[in-house]
Amino acid sequence: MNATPELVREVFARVLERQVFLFAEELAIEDIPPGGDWVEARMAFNGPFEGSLSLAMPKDVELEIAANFLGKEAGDPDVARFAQDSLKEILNVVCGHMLTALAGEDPVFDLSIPKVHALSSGDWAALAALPDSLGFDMEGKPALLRFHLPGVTA
Amino acid sequence: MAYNILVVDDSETVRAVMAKAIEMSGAEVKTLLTAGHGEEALEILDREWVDLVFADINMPVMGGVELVKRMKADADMKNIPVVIVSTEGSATRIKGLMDSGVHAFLRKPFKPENLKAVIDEIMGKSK
Repeated sequence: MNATPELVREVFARVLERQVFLFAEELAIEDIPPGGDWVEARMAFNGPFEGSLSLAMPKDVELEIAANFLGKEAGDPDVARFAQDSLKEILNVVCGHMLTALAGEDPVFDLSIPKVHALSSGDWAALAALPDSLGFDMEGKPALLRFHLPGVTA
Repeated sequence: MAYNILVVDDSETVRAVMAKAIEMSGAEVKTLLTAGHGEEALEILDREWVDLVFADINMPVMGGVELVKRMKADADMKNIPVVIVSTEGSATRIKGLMDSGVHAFLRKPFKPENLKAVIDEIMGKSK
């Protein structure tokens, strides 16, 4: 098991492209405008190893991603209604594929139900400062992804 | 022949996306029913005629594994085909599900044509 930043980036980019048709590329965290109106989805997993995965992005980006996920126009009322749920589902899919990429197809993991919450400026700064947080540019839209294995630094 | 399909997932978004994928797949659907978890699915299965069930694994109240177990223990439900739709890729879990009577496994994300192939295969088999 080797959760290198390259592997985490590769899996996230692959799932995002297939799920919401967006290309995700590496972005230095210091190049992401800090704070603002961000949301974070987080979930945990348990199995041969345990840890957590979180995905954070500005609220307006969450809406754009939800629109792509649902195949609806950004102004459609369903987009705002399903935005948090879409983010949870995308995180869920990323987590499943991340665990297969890391552990192979034999182990069984239990995944928690993802939760979404608003990030304060302080929360954002704390998340961005963590050594296993990775920055992404999703076609001009920023995101932070953290695949955390306790005791391991990606 | 048009089918009555039940989609079981705790995410309202996934239920909406599944409904759209089923529509885009071109599969003939008479009624599309939805449930937020296994227990709700069992209540629907108890009162409605359902030809095919799509179920997630990881749900609150009752997950997909328990749902399949309960369906297989019920004389009226045991022959209804179940497709598990999940992000999980564990071959061990998939084998366990297939051994317990699940008809197919569809890994997310999937394309409508994958969904259509599964529906055609299962409903063809069950005719």
